[in-house]
Parts: sequence; structure tokens; C-alpha cells
Amino acid sequence: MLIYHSAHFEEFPYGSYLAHLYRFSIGEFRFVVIFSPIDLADSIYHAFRSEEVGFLIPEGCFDVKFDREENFVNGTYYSPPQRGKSAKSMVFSKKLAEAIETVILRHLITYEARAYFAVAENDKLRRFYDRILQASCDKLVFTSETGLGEGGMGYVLKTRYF
Amino acid sequence: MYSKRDISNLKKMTIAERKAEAMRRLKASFDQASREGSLKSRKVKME
Repeated sequence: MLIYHSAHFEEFPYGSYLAHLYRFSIGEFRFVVIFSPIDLADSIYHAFRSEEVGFLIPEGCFDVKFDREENFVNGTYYSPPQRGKSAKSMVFSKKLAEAIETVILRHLITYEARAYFAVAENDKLRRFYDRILQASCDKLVFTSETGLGEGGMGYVLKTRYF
Repeated sequence: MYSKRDISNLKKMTIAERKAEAMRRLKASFDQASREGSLKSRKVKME
């Protein structure tokens, strides 16, 4: 199963900041990962997000979201693939976890981010994120905190730049 | 004090709704950048 990683981040204006989109694929399955900076210029929103994670969020912290590229293009965010078009094998899941870890590491090296935030909307995704965290090397994570925010499904990865 | 986002509405949303809404905003910004030619590319730094 071939894994393709883009050689570039696509940058686009998002409020007062630039968000970063990254593309990768595993076999025939194409994905996007989007890194969006936390908006510190909006003081109310900044306070709201800081309260959720339990510390005052500094510059250089990003929300991380990933989805199938098809969902991003069609605006059908987080929709499951059509029947018969999904890859349910453990091997695929492992490859996906490795690929996402690689993407975050590449983003970290390129942008020197201080922290990453992610939220799992269900237990399946939480188990998947936990697997990524367990496999993550010291290059990526300085400290990690889980169980944050509403429903205890939030993750914070503080990097060496925090 | 004024927020560009409706914080009270954000608090009412489920996690899935909030993630989808964030994606919708990101896609709108990405599409706008594509249309206006403000999409940029940065080479990935490798270790």
C-alpha cells in the first residue's frame, strides 16, 4: 500500500492568520490535514479556547483537523465513505496513524508550532488518536494532555517550542 | 467586547457539529484564496 506525502503545505488566509493544508494518500485513499492557528486577535474567543485547554494559549498554536479529501472538496465534512469504498483493515489504520504522525512532524519542523489541539468526536476516533499518541516519538511531542474540553475528548500536544 | 464568533452558539454545539462548522469556515477561506489567487505554497522542511 503506497503512501504519498505532498512536498508542500498550501497556505491560505484564515482571519488574521494563515492556515495550512497538507495532502497525503494511502493507496487510493486521499486525505487532507488542515492546521488552523488559534485566533488570538479575538480576545473573547481566545479566552474561551484557553479556558477549554487550561492554559493561556500563546501564538503559534494550531487546531488540527483531517478528513478525506473528497469530503473537503464536496463540503460533506467527516462523512464516512460509501459502502464498499472504505478500508477497514488494521494495516490501513496503522498506516493512517503513521501518516498523520508524519504530517504533524513535518508541520512542526516547517512552522515550529508550539502546540496542537485536536478533538475526537467519538470513541473510535479517540482510540485512533490514542494510538497515534502512543506511537509518537520524542521529536513530536514534548507533553501531551488528553481528556480536555467538553466530553473529555480533547487533546493537547505541546511541542519542544512551547 | 465583541467576538467575531458566536461563542454561546459554539458552546451549544456537539463536538461533531463544531468540527464540521470549523471545516466549513476553513473550506470557504480556502476556496476564496483559490479564486483570488492568494493561495501560497511552502516547501516542507525535512529533518
